Amino acid sequence: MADIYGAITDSAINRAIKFLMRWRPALFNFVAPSQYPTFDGNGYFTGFGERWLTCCSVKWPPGVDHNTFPRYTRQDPLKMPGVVGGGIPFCAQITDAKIDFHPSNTIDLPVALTPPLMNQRFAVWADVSCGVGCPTDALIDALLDAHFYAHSKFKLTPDLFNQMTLDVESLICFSLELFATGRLYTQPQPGPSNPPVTEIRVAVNGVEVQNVRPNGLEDAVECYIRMYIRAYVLPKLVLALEPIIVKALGVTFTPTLTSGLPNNPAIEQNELRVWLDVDVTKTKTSGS
Amino acid sequence: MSDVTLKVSEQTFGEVFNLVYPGKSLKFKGESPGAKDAAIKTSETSTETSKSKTYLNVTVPWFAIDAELHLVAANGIEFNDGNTFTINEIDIAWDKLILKVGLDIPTMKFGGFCLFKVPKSVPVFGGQCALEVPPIDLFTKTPDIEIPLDLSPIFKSIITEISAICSIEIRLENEKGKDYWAVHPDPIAVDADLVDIHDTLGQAPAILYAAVGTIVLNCQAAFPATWVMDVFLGFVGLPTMTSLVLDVLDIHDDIEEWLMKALEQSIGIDNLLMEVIFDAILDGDAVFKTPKLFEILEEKKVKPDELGGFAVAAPAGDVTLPAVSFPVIKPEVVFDDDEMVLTFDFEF
Repeated sequence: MADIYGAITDSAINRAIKFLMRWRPALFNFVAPSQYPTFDGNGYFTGFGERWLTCCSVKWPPGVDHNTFPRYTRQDPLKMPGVVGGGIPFCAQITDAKIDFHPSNTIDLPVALTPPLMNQRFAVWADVSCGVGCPTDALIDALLDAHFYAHSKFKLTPDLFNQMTLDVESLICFSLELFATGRLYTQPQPGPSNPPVTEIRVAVNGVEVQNVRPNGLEDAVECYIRMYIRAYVLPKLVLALEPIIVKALGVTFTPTLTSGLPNNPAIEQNELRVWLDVDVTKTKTSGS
Repeated sequence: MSDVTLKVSEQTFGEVFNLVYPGKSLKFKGESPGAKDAAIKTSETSTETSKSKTYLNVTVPWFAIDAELHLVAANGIEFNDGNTFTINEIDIAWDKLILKVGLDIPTMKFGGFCLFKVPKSVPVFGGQCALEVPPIDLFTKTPDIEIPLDLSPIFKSIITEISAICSIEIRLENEKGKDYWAVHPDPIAVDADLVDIHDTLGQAPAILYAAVGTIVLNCQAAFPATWVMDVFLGFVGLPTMTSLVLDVLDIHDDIEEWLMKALEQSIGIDNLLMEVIFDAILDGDAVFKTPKLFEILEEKKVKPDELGGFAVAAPAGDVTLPAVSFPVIKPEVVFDDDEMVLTFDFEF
């Protein structure tokens, strides 16, 4: 029998996601703002102003100072060949998301992900609103005639101009439904510790984006998203079983996964479960 | 189904208990109620406008204790099916024990009357009080008679053994401005062997017998009456010569422990004393703690150029993102044969 067992339901995680969306909106709303030059009263260039354009409005959480509480995380603009300037403004907003532990009961998986959800797997669904800026013809004309600015009293040099994200006043918006399935696995943490610290990691088995046509474009988008998840998101979703110091009790728990179980950690009965054996020791203080 | 379930095995619970509690020093002082609190209400009359009560003040024996002790170890912890756990034979060592015994006599008013009046026949001063006894209060202290007995030299060599059946109590506590759900053992039955004969004899048999003799002599000098001796010995938990023999054989304790386990109820005055002490010991530290607001994202300072969506232009200095915490509600603890099960929900 394990020393300690812990479990959390998918329902709790889903409510936590909604809670976080409300209180840390910047974690779910990514924006590359559009930029425009600003000038003083004499028409001299003074810098860049920004427009943080989104497809869905994002509310501030109650009680925060609207002047100092951010709602978006800055992203670099999209770079594309043929686009003059610093890049294309865009936004990507996760407006809703949920997770479903086996057995699946809250997410209807698309056919491409071969429902029903397999044993020891989880499903993720997210509603993503995306928007991309498209410059007006007038702006394109100005961009192509950038030397006009460089030689004018504005002193907006081509270098500065090329750093500026396209100046647009609205985005072309569309929505995507993203589905993914995955599992948990463990591996020893690379490093000198002996025995090695065990890490609980997340693997993604399938990604499906709906509402994108034609199929080739859908496949390309899915490929990009899969790469983004594997290269950027999953490395952050690692739980290392390192010693836990409980200051209030003055003891240190050194956990290891309980061996001899068919699945540990496990995704079953709508819960994420983990069984641990712990070595309990008195916490060493600096003076001892 | 609760949002979060945590289970802790009996063995791990015992390991944590034996790491957290032994060695911790506990100081405590206490005294019995004085005569004022022990006054007996004899009658009560009531009219439409007022009530009057009559009390019979009595002289009461008074005890006080000034002690310091520490836990040595618990010999075993067992989880019970009835949502309790049993701590078997916790050894307690006494670092200091000063016992005070005395008598508290009800406060009496004396004086305030005229001892000698000038005869009325005397001109001018006739009928006036020539000598008045001033009003004074007698026996105002609590207690009025007190004999301190410093038993520290004796008790430093004595190991006290306690077994207890505890339930678990979850309390909302505040520590440095932060609310915690704290899991505390709550003793519901205690079996105390105040002077553990086996362990003590193992350490210093001669001291024990000398101690009993010293106390008896002290008490006889102070309170010759037999009943006072009985009260004192009963309170301290020291055995009479008859019970000493029984204690050496450990017959008395075995029967008491068996009864306690069967009835889950404390037995004897020494146990009541120990229950109070035990309560005080366990009050100190929680076995497990869960913050009421479980911080999932800590407060963070970020440069404003990494973020956007302010009502006005981005502020000049760093931006502080407040911590995000999940409120924990409905914590519950139950025991089965092998595990302590802690469950709670998130409030959102």
